[in-house]
Amino acid sequence: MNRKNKFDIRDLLISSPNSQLLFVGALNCIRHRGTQMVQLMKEGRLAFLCPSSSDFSTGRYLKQIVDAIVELSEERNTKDFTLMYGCQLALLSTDFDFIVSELKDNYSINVVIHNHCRLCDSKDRREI
Amino acid sequence: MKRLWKYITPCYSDVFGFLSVINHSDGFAIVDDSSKYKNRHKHNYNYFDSLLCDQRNVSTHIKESDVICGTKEKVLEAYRNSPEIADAEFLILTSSPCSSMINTDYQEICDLLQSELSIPVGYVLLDGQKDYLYGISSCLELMGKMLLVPKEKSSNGVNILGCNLIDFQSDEISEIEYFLQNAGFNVLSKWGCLESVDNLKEAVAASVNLVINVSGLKIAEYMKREFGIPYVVGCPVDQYNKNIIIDKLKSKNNDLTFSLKRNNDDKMIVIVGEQVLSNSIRESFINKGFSNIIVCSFFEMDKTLMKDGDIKLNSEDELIKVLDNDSVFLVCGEDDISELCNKSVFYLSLPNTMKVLSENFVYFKDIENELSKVGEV
Repeated sequence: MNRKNKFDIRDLLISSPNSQLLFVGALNCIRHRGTQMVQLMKEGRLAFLCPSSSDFSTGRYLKQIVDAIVELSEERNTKDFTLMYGCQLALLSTDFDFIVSELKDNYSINVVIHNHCRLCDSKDRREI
Repeated sequence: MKRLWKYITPCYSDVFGFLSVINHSDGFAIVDDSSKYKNRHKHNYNYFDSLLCDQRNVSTHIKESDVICGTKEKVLEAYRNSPEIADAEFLILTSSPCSSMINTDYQEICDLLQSELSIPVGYVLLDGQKDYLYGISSCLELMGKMLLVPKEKSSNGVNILGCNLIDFQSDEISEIEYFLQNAGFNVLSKWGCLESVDNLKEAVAASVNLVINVSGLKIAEYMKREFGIPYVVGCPVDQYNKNIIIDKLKSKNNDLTFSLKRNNDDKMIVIVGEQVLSNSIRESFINKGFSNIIVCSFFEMDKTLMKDGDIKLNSEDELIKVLDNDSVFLVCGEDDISELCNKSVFYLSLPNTMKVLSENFVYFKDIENELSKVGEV
């Protein structure tokens, strides 16, 4: 936590020095903690996946998430990921357990889901 | 992988582009989203701070249940709680990532509000997933549809279209205006930056429009279709381009003045950026004697402005493939892209204004200096 005791996305990466953050959502979501996100991106610790409307409506985004994490895992040589997401994924009741098990079982990649959706006011929500 | 951004930092979204226009207009916007768009950008991009300082918009503060049941009541509530709308010259509603997923009937809400208000009311459908230029162009087109009515023509009247305050600074737009005035034109209105509705309404009197950014193309097409005003596309990045633009404006002819003779043996120049700016930079290079030049852009590209070899980019991988070509000797683009280039190529920095965070700032007015670093062949 930073000195104002507010949420800093960098905190999500503290537990594992080699872990990566993947944000999945709209470009618009970058208005929340965008500066922190971009700094992490420049350090090679974060990537953005921005599916299109048709990706969401067809469910293609589920495969895109898995493919993106596998690609990042190979390129950046890490098996630890944290997944952040925007409101579209929450509204679609995304089965995150499926994504986590798919990556764990088939690629031995550990994924932690960070629930922070402002729209849905989730229990884990912190000040974003 | 398509839509995966690993190296190039994302640009601002369509909703931000839309708000950059609204916040500098006499209008007001209701954004159907879960939270307010605040001025939180404390980084050193000084003019982006000003971009969001005058908040002429409110959020509907929708929650999960509203997205399930419909957001109409929240939009109407935001309207009732916004006394600022009484002083606005027009009202525009827009959607956001979450509200766009349920296709709220904004036309119904507009009809309802229009019966209560004496100002024009309209809506643009944005999903927060497209780039800021899309939001700007959609907003300008709607403003044109709401505000413009036929007027008597002024023989030397010209409008500057697409001069948005994300890609340009206010003083740079003033310089473009001054350059047109010096050439004998009367600038009636500027679309995209700080401008009064009274001036925007004068736009129909223009004899020709100047589109300096791809975000001005939609409103230019609309004015051409509805009011018969021709348009010229070009960005005055240097004296050579200024001369071309003046010639085109005087002849009211937008035909491209150059033809590219592609030769595979030539060394290639790759320009990565907004299409109108990039095309103007290409013309400068052609004037210097170069011939093998392609324009690539992650933003929307107008097919009529594309030349053979130009590429609408969909992913970082596509750009890396272009830059890996051995014949590339010069790349022009914003800073993030330089990291993807082979170290042996020359690199010219273009404005990186669209970025959430940039460390090295290059402004539009710096381009002429950058171009002067490249000699003639």
